[in-house]
Amino acid sequence: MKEKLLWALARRHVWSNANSTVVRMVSILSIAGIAIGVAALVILQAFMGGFTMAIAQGLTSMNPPLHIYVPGGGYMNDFDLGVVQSIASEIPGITGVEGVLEKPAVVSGAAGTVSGAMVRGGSSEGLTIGMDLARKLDVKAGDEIRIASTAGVEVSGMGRVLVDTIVTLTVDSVGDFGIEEYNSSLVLLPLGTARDIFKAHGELTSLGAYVETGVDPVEAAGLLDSALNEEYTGGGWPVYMSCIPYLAFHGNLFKALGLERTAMTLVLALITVVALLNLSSALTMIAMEHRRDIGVLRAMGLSPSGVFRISVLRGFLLGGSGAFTGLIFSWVSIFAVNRYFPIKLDGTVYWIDVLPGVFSVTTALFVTLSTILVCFVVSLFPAFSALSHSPSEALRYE
Amino acid sequence: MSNDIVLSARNIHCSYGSADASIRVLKGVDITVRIGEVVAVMGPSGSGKSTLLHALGLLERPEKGEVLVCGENGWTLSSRKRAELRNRKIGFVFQFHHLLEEFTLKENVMMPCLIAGYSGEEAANRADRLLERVGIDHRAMHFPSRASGGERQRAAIARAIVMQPDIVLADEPTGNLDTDTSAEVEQLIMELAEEGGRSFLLATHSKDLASAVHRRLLLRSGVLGQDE
Repeated sequence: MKEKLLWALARRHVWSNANSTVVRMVSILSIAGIAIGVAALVILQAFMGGFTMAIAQGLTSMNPPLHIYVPGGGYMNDFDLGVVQSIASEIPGITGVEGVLEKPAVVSGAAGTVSGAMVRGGSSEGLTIGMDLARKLDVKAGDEIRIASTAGVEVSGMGRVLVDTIVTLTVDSVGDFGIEEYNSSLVLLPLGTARDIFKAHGELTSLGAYVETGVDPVEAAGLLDSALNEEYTGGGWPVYMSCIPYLAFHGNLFKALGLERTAMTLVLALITVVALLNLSSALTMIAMEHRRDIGVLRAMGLSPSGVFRISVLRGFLLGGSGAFTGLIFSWVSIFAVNRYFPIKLDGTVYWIDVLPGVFSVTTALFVTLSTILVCFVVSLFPAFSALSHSPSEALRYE
Repeated sequence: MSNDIVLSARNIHCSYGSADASIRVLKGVDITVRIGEVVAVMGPSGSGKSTLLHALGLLERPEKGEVLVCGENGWTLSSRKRAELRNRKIGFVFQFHHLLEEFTLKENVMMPCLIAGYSGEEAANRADRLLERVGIDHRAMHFPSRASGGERQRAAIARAIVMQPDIVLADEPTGNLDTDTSAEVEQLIMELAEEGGRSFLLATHSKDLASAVHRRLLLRSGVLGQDE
């Protein structure tokens, strides 16, 4: 009953219609300030996180999450693929390894059109070209394109010589690969077709490994790299291979995005700091307004710890209401922006067309609970201040 | 100590202000109140009547002296125990009622019971009975701002006695009321004292109230003496 009473006292000191207009106004302003601070932080995290995730997804959508290569740029072959597949099968979380042959080429489509392209041979079943490249070449599914390479190598009586090849192939599909860079340059082919174009039979430029959903690619890459290191350095193999997560190729980009996110978080956290200062002054004002009431309650037998708890509960109520309001507001805002007011981006600049907001429950709860915790700390000053007055002083206070 | 003494204080000294500019308000006050006794402390404004009541009610620590409430030395207890003693043994009535504005009259009367940890039902039952007794049961669910001065003071008196304390300390209980209402409140106080065998210590300027009590004391120059 006593706890319920303390809650009721704190609640009515903050909310009641019997309070002065000033107290009601400062209560509302404190809640609004904290709500804005929390919402700003949650929304920022949602869109910065969503942007980073969309970029990462776009980059990995066309590439296996683990990239296995020969340091220094050496070639691999089907035998190496077999060895790596065998090693990878021992590592939990890795679902398979495929060989990739990827080289630059020149492609042409309708009369007069020509473009540079990156031709990738892998597990693709037909020929797929990026949508922007298809537009540039003025082709669609069913049309023919010509792929010219000067990178083919043949072995003749004169040794290994570079040969020119031009092949004509039918486009099976036009794909949206999610990232403008891929859409404007990528041509996907079956591995065998790519090897024919580049006269690179049995050769591979890299290997790609896949992981189960939920497995951290960085961790899996580390495990596979260690296993490869052990195998090649201990087994006397002539070729050394290394494995890195594919996103490591874009490490600087993600570091820059992370730095930007941190800087913006710090700036927006200042809103919360201002809101907390506002809360502090509101709690002081509410404490002054109810100082005599506290004296009356003490005369009726309320203990000093009860007085302290009422003060803390006032801060908790204001801070908690603000943080919860901010949490709801941010969720609704993110949902509304994603659904009804998508933020358009220039795909040629940002790689993605729409900025997605990803509401992270963990982040939102962290922001909300941290704010409530700081509100608790802020409420301690007026709470200790309330204890410093004797009941008699409080009763005389006008 | 005699068993019929509910409140006694010896050699109470109180002063205000800093050490070099202090005003000595009480200079060794002794007082004893017995069960069922209604005592009035009179004196000019600023003579220290309120300060004395606060010291006796364990609201303001005197510089010197001791206060025994039902035999317990209040100022030697921990602050928590002292708060419990106030809750169980002492009721307060203030000049300006000091009801909590955010709570209805009934909730105000229930408050000491809730502080003591009584159930809401028990507290409500006690409040209902007392509001009926003081004649404002029809105002139970009204907030103090909607009640008249007399009704507020009646609610404050009900709140002071809801825990059935051994003594009620009332500081100018009729000081803020018109003549007719003052007379009603004075009559109520005397009736409640008679009914419950409860002691009252009143600080008052009211000659009418003072004439109705069992004993009158005069506080002058920080010293308490019998009123002539």
